[in-house]
Amino acid sequence: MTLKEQVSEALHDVDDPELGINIMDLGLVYGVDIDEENNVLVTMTLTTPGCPMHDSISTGVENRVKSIDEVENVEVKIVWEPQWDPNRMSDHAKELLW
Amino acid sequence: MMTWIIFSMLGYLYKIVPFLVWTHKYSELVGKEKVPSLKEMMNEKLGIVLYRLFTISIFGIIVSVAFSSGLALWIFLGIQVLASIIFAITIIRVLLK
Repeated sequence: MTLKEQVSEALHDVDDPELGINIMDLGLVYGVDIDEENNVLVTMTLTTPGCPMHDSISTGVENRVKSIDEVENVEVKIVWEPQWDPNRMSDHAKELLW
Repeated sequence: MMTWIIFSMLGYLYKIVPFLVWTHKYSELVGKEKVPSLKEMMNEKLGIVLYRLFTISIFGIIVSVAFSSGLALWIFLGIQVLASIIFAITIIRVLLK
């Protein structure tokens, strides 16, 4: 498994505390970039700009990705474009919510 | 008017206390270990039951006073006290989680 795949799999362990669904199934993660020195950049969004769990989720991503041995540094970049909408959720997440 | 204000306060309390407790206890642990979700901090179904009891008791008290029924008044006041005690216990249990 490549490091990028390990990181993507690890992000399945980070849940949105309000919804109780992981951020990958919610479709919040837009990209995972890894440089030659194994520094990871996770580009993601949140369900709403006013999300009160902003810090908890981004800290959670940092904590979880940092726990992977090969990872050197982690940066979480929150973006608001493109805007998240429920269609980005996986079928599994939709089943859980609706 | 007062009834509406009290219901709003109770509703916000039911929402904000679990949020504050969760943020204080678990926000730094996300991604490090399994943490409860916000929904797991409070019993939502119990909340619905309590609000229905509050609503019934308030209307019952108003009707009891209107018809000067002492017995009915005691019954509906009892329901309101019981609902209040359960509400308070529920909030305290969240604080102790």
